[in-house]
Formats: sequence, C-alpha cells, structure tokens
Amino acid sequence: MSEIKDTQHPKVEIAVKNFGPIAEANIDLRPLTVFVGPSNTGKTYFATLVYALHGILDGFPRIPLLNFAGVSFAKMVSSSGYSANSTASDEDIRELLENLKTSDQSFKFSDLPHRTREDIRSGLTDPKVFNHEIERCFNLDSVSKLLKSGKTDVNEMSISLAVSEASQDLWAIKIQNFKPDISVDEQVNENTLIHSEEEEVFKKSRYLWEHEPLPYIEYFKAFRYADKGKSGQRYYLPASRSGIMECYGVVASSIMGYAARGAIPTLSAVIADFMMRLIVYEDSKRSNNPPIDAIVDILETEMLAGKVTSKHFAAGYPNFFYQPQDVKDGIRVDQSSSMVSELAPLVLFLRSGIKPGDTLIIEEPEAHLHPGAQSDMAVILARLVRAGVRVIITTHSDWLLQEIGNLIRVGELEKAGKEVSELPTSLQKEQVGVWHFQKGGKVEEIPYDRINGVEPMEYLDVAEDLYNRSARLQNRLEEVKGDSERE
Amino acid sequence: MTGVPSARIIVNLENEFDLRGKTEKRCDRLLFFIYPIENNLVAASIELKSGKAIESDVIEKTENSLKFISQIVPVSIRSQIIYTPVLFEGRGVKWTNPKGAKQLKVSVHGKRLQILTGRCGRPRNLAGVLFG
Repeated sequence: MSEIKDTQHPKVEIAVKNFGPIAEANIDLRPLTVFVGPSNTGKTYFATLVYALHGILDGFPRIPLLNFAGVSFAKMVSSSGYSANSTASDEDIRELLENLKTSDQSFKFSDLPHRTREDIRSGLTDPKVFNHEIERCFNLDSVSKLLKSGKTDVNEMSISLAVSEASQDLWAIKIQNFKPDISVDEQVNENTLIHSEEEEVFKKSRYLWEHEPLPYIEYFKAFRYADKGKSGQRYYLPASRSGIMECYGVVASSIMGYAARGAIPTLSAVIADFMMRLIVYEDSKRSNNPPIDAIVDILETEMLAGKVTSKHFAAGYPNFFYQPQDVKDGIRVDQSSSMVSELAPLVLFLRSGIKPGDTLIIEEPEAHLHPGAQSDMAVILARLVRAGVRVIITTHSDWLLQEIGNLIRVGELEKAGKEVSELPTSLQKEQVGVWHFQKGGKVEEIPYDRINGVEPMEYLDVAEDLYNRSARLQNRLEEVKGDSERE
Repeated sequence: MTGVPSARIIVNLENEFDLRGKTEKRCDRLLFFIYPIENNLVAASIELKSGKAIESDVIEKTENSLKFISQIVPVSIRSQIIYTPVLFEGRGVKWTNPKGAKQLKVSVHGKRLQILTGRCGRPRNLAGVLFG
C-alpha cells in the first residue's frame, strides 16, 4: 500500500443559492470531490466557481494571506517611502516583531500588524477582484447574469465560502447583491493559530532582524510565503479538451495567449487558461516530483501505450506528439485517437508541475475512454489523491463511479488490516465526496454504501429500464417462437 | 399499482398454496390483467426479495408460480397467456452472484423467459417493469 501524502488541506465549504442552474448547494471539497447528475444541472458551473474562487483567494489557505497581502506590503512600502531594498524600520514590521517577542503563546492572526490585518480584510471584500475573475471564468459581461433562470431578483443569489479546520473556523466570505457590482462580507478568526512551521519563518526573520537588519523585501517574502505551500495552484481540464487539442495548433497560432475581449469572440478562463498552459509548456522544464512522475508513467505505459512528447515551433509555441510504444516516429496528437487527445493534456499538466497541495479540476475524465480505461482512470484519480493533489471531477460514468466505490471498499479492508490485491491503490471513504446535482433541486451528497458504492439511484434506474426493455423484447420473441412452432 | 390497468386480479399465493395443501416454494403474488394494446391476458408472478438472495431459489419459486397459473386458468386460453416473471428487489439486497438477478431465466411451457426486475421504492415501479 502506498503511503498517503498528508497535505493538510483545510476544510473548504462552498455554498450557493440560485447560482446558474443550481437552486441550492453546500459542498465541502474533499481530496476527491465528484459531481454527478443529469446534464444542465450545474456541475460545470460549480466546478468553474471553485476554479474562480481558488484563483481569487490564492487557493484556500488556512490564513487568508491572499494576493492582497502582497498589495498590503506594497502599500506600506510606497506610503512610508521605503523601496524594496530599504532596511525595515516601518512601524508595521516593528509591531509584528514585537508581537513575536512578547507572545508567550503561539503566534496568532491577531498578532499580525493592525494595518496588515485591515488590508487583508479590505482585500477580502474588494468586489472588483471577485467581479473580474468570476466574469473571466464564466466569460460573462456581468456576474449578475449568473442568477438562476426564472429568478428575477439578484438578491436571491449568493455565494459563500468557509475555510475551517478540525478545531476552529478560520475565515469565511459571502458574496451577494449582484446589482451588477457585488458586495462581499468577510469573517476572519483573529485567534487562528499560525502553524509552527509558519511561525518559524517569522522567528527566523526576527532573529535575522535582531542580528542584521534585512531588506524590507525579505520581511515581505517571509510574510507572503508563510502559508503559501499549502494553498497550491489550480488546474482545469475542460470537457472539450480533446476538441481543443485537435485544433490546438490553429488556435495557438491565432491567439497566442488570450483573446482580446470585444475584438474577437472571447473564451472562458477555464479554456483560455488551459490553452495558455499548453502554449507555455516546455518539456525541458519538467517538474521533478516522483509521486506525480510515477502517475504519468502509469498513464503512458498502461493507458496510452505510448509517450506524449512536445516540440517547439519557430512561432514560439509547442506542438504535441504521441509516440506509440515500439514505434520510432511520433504522430501529432491532433492526428491520434480521441483517447490520446483526451489524455495528452492530463499528462502534460502533470508533467508541467502539478504538485501535492494543488487543485486539479477535470471535467468528465471518462470522455473518449473505453469502459476498461474508464475504470483505470478512477485508479489514476485515486493515485493523484494519495499523492496529495485535491481532485475535483464532473462525471456521467457508471464505470468510473463503480471503480471509485471499489477503491473505497479496498480502503475499508486495508483499514481493517487486510491485504488486498484487487486494486493497486485505495481510497478512504472520508477522502471522497460524491455530490448529486438535480434539475431545480438541492445538491445532495451520495453517501458511500458498501453495497451500492457511490452511484446515484438514477444510474440504477437507467440500467434497470434497459434490462427490462431487453427482457420484455426477448420474452416477446420467445412467445413468437412458441406461436410459430404451434403453427 | 400506479399505471397498472385497474381491472386486475391479485392473488396471494401463500394463501392459495396453503388452501390447496401445496408445499412447493412459491412467489409472493400473482397479478392478472388484460394487456391493453393486444388484448391478451397477462399473468405475472411477483417475487419480493430483500436481505440475502439466492438466484436458484428465485428461479424455483418463479417456475412453480408460473406452473400454478396454468393449473388455474381455463384450458382454452392457456396458450394465449403472456407469462411475465417479475422480481422486486429491496435496496441492499445481497445476491450470491455479483450480477444479481439480471439475466435470470425461467422455463415455462417450453419457453425460456427472462425475469423482469424492479426496485422497491421507485415511483411507478410495477408499471415501469411491465410496460416500460
């Protein structure tokens, strides 16, 4: 059994009301979060929202040391006349260091300089930041257009995010009043403890400060990165990725980065960012992350039966190739099978730097895969989870969900001290959250059940209806056979 | 019974078997009605299953029940009857075969019929099984 990577993700709950096609949802993100349900019920909307909030809030860190923290220090520098290379003597830094000196208890959020805390709070409630990124991700002119159809009052729509850990609430925001500019309320727990390793960063700064005054920028860095390792980066593999891969060369050469709003039709951020990651991909800058590299290796050897390679064109963007095992020459990904087009971006994303702590959103990871490969994909997702990546998927695949159920069953057996060779990895039931989206209704969790796994009942309904239709027709044919024999 | 023709007869097989001193295994109910499209008599054996389930047990009960139908209906219409074996499963039923009740077949009057399956608690479940 491979060891589970503990990334210590804080608990993240996102709640919406009358948002897009969703009437109501309150979803906590687990290491593996799965959105299921009929088409047009809001699965992609919610996944896109997670992507947008992750970008705005710099991940979902324990302490909201968001991008605004950088702004905060930048403000201090400019307002107090210091440059980045000035030695620190600013009152805010003194306050921080004094608090570190006098604090006999663990260092808390409230021990941060007053002005910094105020800047963080005002950053958390800055409507422009939210408006911009949500509009970008949904490719809309106004966030008010996200109001659920049939509703007339934008006051009926809300988006809430709460970050907590086992012992305490950490911080929360609530976005409402989409008229069209939004209002954001915040709540930050002043008593949030700064973890020891984060505290170490501050203490190191203090030590250095006492012995040798540091350039101001060093304090900024210490502050900025204190909680950074946990929040991670975001990645989104949109549903249309195999189609994008097929026209990638044309699109890349046309837009090289972004589509200027108004000049040509715009793309949603999930697709634009997806394209951007491919355009800036450099094979020579592969990340070195053994658990993730091992997953890429499995993807290439067991599912793709070949390697995904890249070659930079003179135009400055890479093109991608698929080299089947035992074949000398690679073929362009856009000329390969749809399965290759589907999986190649996942391989490239993983290679380009997905690491423990990051969030990877994949729409319909089963697309273009044979049923056997769909169940293999469930194992790949489990491996990513165990490597410490937070994975969020939307799916319509019975096979994928059945295998996720099996992975949890293996996890149960392992927890009971049994060795299991059925599958190469496992999941704990607490690691998986499956959420059922329904037309007009509330999004509900499908709890894991040893017998039924994590499949929605409607899948069973469809299977049952298909079976009965087949049985009735076969029985009718049997009747016909009997009639002809009697004749 | 939503969607099932209102002109119908439901037989409690436990009572019928007891009255006739029959000791074989039998299903829970029989249902008779006229199939609205083709004007044929449909005779459905209905077995309700929960807890632990064994496929051979279901087949035996269903075959016995379908044979019983042919014993109680008039000889003149016996060959025109549409025999319809039905099984209803409760949530969490544990089959000995992982494929469950799917593909279970029974023999009746020289025909091999597949057992239709339904799930307890699903709206319009019986009519759905019988008519789609």
